[in-house]
Amino acid sequence: MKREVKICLALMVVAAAMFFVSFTFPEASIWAAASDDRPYQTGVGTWPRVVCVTMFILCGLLVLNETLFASPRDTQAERLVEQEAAERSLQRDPNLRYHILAFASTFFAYMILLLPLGFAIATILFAIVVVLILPSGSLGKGKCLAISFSVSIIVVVLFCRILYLPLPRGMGIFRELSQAIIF
Amino acid sequence: MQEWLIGLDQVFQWSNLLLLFLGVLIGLTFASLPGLNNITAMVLMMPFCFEMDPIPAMIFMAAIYGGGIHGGCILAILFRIPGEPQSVCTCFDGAPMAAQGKSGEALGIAFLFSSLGGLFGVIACIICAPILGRIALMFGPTDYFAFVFFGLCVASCVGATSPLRGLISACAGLMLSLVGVSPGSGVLRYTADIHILAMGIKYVPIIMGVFAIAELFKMVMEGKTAAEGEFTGSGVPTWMVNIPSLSFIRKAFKTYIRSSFVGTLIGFLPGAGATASSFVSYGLEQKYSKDPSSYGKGNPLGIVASETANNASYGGAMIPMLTMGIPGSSSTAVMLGILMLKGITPSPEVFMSMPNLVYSVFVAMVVINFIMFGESLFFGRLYLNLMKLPRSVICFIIVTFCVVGTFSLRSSIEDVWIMAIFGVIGYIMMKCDFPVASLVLGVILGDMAETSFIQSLDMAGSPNPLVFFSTPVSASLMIIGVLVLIWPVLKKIYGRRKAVAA
Repeated sequence: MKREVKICLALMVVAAAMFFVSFTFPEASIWAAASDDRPYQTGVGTWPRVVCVTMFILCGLLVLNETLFASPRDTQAERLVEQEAAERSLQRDPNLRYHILAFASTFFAYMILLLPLGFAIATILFAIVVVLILPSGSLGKGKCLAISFSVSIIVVVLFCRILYLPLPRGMGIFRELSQAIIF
Repeated sequence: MQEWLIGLDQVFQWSNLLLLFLGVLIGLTFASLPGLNNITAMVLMMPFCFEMDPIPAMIFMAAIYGGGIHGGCILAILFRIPGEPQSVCTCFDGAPMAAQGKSGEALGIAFLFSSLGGLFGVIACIICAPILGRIALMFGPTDYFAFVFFGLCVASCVGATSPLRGLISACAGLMLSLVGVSPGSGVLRYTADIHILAMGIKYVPIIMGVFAIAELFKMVMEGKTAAEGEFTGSGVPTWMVNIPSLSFIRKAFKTYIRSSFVGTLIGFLPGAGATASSFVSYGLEQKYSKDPSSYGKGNPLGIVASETANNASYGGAMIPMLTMGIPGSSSTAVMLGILMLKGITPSPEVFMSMPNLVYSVFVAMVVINFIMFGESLFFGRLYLNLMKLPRSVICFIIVTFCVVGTFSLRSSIEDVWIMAIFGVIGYIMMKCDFPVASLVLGVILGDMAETSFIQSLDMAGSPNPLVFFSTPVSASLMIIGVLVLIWPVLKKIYGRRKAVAA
């Protein structure tokens, strides 16, 4: 099954779920006066239902288009283009899979450790690790590390010390360490 | 004529000229740094305006506002980080040009046409302010809803192989805007008792995620981090901001005029603003271009369309504020606050009662565009030198800038996680050919769409969908929006019939 079809089916499920949840929202009639002359009031769930139904229909149309009207030749051509792109990527970077895994892990680790370590320490560590795991090209690891470390210090001082932006300061001992770096 | 001379006399005093230079510098600085924007700059500088006379105070604020709109393109082009929503469309062609080693050229085009677009908007504001101010008041909820519908239809065609995928992205954006407090009734929706969702999903983490972070993932997945200094285009990358040649200006002239009109006309609608104008302008230019497939791959005219429109809207947004006291955007709301602090209430009669103030602001707005161009050349060169750094360092800078920009919004780590999640979603959308621009516009316009939808039905007194065709403006916009969507299908059917007949 094509990726687009899977995504559309998932979106249809989400839209259907949101549609049914919209019936649990308190409606306007709860607050309206108990009178036959009360003016019409659009409920809280009306607009969400309109959006969910529209989404369901649009995704359904795309699924039909991709399953019934897409020619096998187009699908094959797309697969060939993707294969060629993957080969070109591997030619540029023979250790591509390792770099992807390493970068993704580092990125998400940075997101998670931002609060406990604080912006200053997490950023400096992230700068160093990213340079170590990704290729450095003609400059070499040493120079790249030095540039990265300097840039990370400038960034930390600029945002924390000069601009006083409210950024995570860390917890426990890391908070004190962050204070020491910033001040 | 006398009022113009008074305005010139006021603006060209040393103290006011200094305020203009300083204001543009502050606006540019704040707009080109993540986590900061021109509204922050204006609010921070407000206390300085308390002691000033009304004219210097308004000149200063107008300069910060103008500089802020102008500066958003720098990060959008160099790092694909649209710091402001109105810079999103600049990313589409600016970032590919930067990847081709044409950063200097892209920045030069953005700076020049921002200033020219701003100049057009200001002149339109000066000529049409009293008339357009009254027309702005005639727009009702049905017209606003039709405008949102039209904007989403045009945006669905931006960067999409088919409008259907664009519409699905736009709808996904509208669904995201449903999370949180419903406008008008204050009911919590789709929050699952999670605190951060109760405050809604803001568009800043989404923009940072689907543009900057997703592009970063793409760079790593395609192995481009191994190729420092390698650019996909031919020629040597330049590290100077290149002012466009006369031949390019001639080529881009029609795009400039069209985008200026779109920007000014949309900018004067309160609440619509620079974002919608840049999307609509970009979408229309792509649609009616002789080579639509080149948009999104480094076509300089894409930058011209986006930057001209979003800066032309600057003049348009001042119109309802000056003539009716209705702020067209958050920035003009701050300016209105300053006026009211000084005991001045904007009204259609302000041209008669306070001509010195009005014409001084008009002259200042013209001068600001020239100052912006000069100061942005300096900034552009500063940032351009960052591009000489190795790709691995640029990766780190992009992630850090995005984290700062996102966390500073609400001091919430959950926003940073939302940005990371949308980075993954944005990458998947790119691979599956779903345009991210429509998603972003859907999120931004979602609240306006819902509010105008509800107001339209409540005023009609029944859930009758024909109410959205009840005024000439709403009917026209709805029909044009539908035509924009079905035009590719009709063209295809007509082409097939022609081929069969032949």
